[in-house]
Amino acid sequence: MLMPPLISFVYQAILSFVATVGFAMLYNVPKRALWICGLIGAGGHLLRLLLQEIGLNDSGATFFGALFVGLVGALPARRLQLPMILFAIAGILPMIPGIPAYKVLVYFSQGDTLGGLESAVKTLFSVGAIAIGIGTARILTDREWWLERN
Amino acid sequence: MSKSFQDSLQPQAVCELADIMQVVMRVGVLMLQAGTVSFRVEQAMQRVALGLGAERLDAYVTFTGITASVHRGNQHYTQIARVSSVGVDMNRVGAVEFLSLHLPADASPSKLMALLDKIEQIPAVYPLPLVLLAVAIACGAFALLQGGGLVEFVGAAVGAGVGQTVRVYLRSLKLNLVPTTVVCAAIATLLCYLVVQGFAMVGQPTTYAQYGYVSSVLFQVPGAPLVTAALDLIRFDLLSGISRITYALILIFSLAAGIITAGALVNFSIM
Repeated sequence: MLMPPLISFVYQAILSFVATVGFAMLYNVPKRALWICGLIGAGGHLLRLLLQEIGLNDSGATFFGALFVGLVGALPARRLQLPMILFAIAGILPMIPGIPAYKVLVYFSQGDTLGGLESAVKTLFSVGAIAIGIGTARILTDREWWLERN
Repeated sequence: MSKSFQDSLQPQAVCELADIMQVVMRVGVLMLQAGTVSFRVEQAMQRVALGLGAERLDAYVTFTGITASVHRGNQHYTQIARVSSVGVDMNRVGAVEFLSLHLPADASPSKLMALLDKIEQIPAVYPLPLVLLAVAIACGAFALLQGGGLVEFVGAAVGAGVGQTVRVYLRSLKLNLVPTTVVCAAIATLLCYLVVQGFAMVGQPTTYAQYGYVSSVLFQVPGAPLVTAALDLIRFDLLSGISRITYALILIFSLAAGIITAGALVNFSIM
């Protein structure tokens, strides 16, 4: 869909907020954290879009989006005395690589092995970027991850 | 162990360590079932054990079970707990973790057991119909995010809403998660297909139907286990992390099987 950039950003922000809040409710997130989850989900998604817009590749943009979700999630977690994981699980939702994952299935079912593999690699890179982003954020914000035990 | 044998061997202490272990294990099982990172489980168990007067707790937390030893002086007590039916319940993770951080000053095993009973009885934060609606709208929103339009929004919302409803029902029957996922993915995809066909019949064909199909099954994508797996793995809780990834892969393959089943029923026109 062709839209002026600003309107398109607002559109994406609202949708990612709604999607994150909906899934946060499925995960039984406490009410007081619900809208924060939505904001973090929208923030991560918008940061990723912005970075893609200025020319960063998909995996890099996704990494920074997930890093944002993980880092920013640490603040309300401390303030509201809630587990950090809550904001991470809900916040990465808009970045799930749904379309590439679906294409793996489509290409393979049509006998297009190369196309399927290409989509599979793309999906893996996106999932990997999310995992590494969340992991990096955790190492930076939690000494239990920063230091080895004993 | 019979009571008389236990008493003759170690009058008080063993019995008490056993009591501590019951609480500690329950804390661990509740948190693990609610879907948090294994180290957080270990941490909460440790706090409770030390708070109840143990000197040390070693807990080995995997995705499907917990092994733990509690020590005091030269005595120790070990227990294994199997954990099944792992889900995601962030309210419970928060409640148990909060309890472990703020143990009452006069904490005793029986008192903590009562508090844990209370946590277990906390009803879901949101009523079920509201969650179903939220899931439907969220999956619809995801379809729009991917680049779909009205048709995809409605298709994904209807598919996900009904799919999640069936899923809640099948989970209440305690049906294995694999057939549950296959059936619900197939239902969601088929309903989305019917919606797309319906719109086409009234003169609203779409070329982005794929965005609808993938979004209609989003409610079953194991995102939470993948995030916790990453956090387990970078702390080298390898067994736990690898189990979580395996669990997520099983569910992803089940999802794919469900979509393909739906595809076979409609001559693969969704592919």
